Amino acid sequence: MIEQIKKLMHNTSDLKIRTLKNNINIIYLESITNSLTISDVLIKNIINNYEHNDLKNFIPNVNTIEIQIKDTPYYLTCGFAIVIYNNKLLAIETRLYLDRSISESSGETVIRGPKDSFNENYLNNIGLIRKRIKNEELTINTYTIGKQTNTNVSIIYMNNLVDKNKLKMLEQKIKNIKIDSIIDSGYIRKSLNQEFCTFPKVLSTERPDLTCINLLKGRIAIIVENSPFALILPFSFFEFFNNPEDKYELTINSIFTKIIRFFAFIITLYTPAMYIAVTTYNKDIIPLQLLISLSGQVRMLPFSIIVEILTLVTLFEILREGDIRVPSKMGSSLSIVGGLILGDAAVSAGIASPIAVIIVAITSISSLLFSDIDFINGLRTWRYIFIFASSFLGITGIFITSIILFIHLNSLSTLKSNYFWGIK
Amino acid sequence: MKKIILIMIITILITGCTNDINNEIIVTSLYIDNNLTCIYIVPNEKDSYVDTISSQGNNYKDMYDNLNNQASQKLYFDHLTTIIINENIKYDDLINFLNIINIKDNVNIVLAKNIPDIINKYKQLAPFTTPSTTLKSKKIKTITYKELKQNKNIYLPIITYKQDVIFVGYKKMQS
Repeated sequence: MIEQIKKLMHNTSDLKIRTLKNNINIIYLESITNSLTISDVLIKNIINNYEHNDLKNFIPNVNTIEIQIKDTPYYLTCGFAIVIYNNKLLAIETRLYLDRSISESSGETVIRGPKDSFNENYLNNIGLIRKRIKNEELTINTYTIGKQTNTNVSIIYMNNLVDKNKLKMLEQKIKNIKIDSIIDSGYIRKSLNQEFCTFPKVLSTERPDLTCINLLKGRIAIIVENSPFALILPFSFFEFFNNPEDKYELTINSIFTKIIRFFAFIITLYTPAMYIAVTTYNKDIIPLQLLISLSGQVRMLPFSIIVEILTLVTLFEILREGDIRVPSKMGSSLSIVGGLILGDAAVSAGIASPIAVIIVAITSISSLLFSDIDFINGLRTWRYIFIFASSFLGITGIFITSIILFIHLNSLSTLKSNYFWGIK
Repeated sequence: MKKIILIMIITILITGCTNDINNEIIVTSLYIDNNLTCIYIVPNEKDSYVDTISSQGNNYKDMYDNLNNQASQKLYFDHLTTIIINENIKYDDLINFLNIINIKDNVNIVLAKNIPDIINKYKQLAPFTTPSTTLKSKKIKTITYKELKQNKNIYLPIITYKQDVIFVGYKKMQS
């Protein structure tokens, strides 16, 4: 039997076999099992009770299952130890939790509101939701997806609040996902977002409080094993303008913040394109004083305005990518070098005009008011499209692109709801 | 990916790069008598300055072409606010010429005597003060190009220069 299991596990080197009295064997993968549980609980109890025929009743472990030999690879890879005695196979959970503890959210920080966030432990994540919604209506359906990874994917919803048609539709979609591996919830998000869309249609959050708020609105959450991000859907375009903190602020203040966020959306999308349009095609719409000022600033530049703006916008994106990837301790120096020194040096060297630096800075800062990284990236894509459109046709180009964006967003749906307006 | 890069390069090459404001000088007023003179601004980061160019020719079209040839950069007329014309210029000649240079409808048309003196005066006051702004500040009604096009017999304000710019009255253009 041991040889058979070894063969099933392809003789992996972390497979350990302990032979005890009375020809009782324990097999486990030492990389994912807790050695303390094995020695203190398992071995001790087996040694004390080896003469009993029904060993299962003498092991004080909640998760003890009698299994077939073909199931051993699954249980071993899930952190179970397999006890072989009297030609029986007993799988006992001795999982080693290789997870970090519950910590503060790094991507969705709030000043006021709960600080805990999801981590890579799937059960912890579900627990953080259960802790907040003590209600039997909170239902969890789990599926195993990924031919190679066998990852648990749970759909969580409030049974009394959820739209059953949408739930059925989502379950069908999840079941239809044919994928080899799921390393993170991003894989599921991608599979659910297959329609061409630059903006995300699923909210990805690491905040359990935000997940609960949405569950209580009748939405559906997806928790994926080993992923600190829960997915929430259906989610409409304008809901990405909300921030986790909005719920904890005074209503009037949060409405005002949303209005500011809306202006930031307009600024981040249109400012560079408008600047190109008014300095290239539609100079007549700006007052003479401003035109003289702008013209004076760009007069000595070696490049055209479109090249200048494209270069600065791209440089900022490089800087942002760099800032995300480098360790946080180096991040501040990168910001200082990139933002302050490079910007100032570019103006002094006559490569960029001060107004272009201001425009790119305002544009970039405005995009950072949104918490969802995919939404920010969607804005970036459209910002480039607007820049190119205004380079060709000025304000007419911006107008045409706005109509295309509006039609595009209006044509999208998420679980049969209109994505733009959120109407069923 | 290759297609996207290609589109980006083509975009940069074929867009309105050459039309942007660092290749143009901004004309604020145009003076027409025997010469065609414009007052323009050369924008500068610290001190923008005002200058004039004057040209001659057999007809107005000729004068305009010569004016463009003399200018160091492309002349930009969209911020032109005033056209000051000699009182002897004929209506049809003026309208034909203004059609060629494609000016905006809201440009003010003012008749004048002693145009060289007026140019000297307004060169010092430019770019924001032109004869039409002076008239407007004195609450004297000015006439736009659109009104002139619509009514051949409209009366235009006429100014002259005697130590200062003086409003003389209203006069019809010659047919």
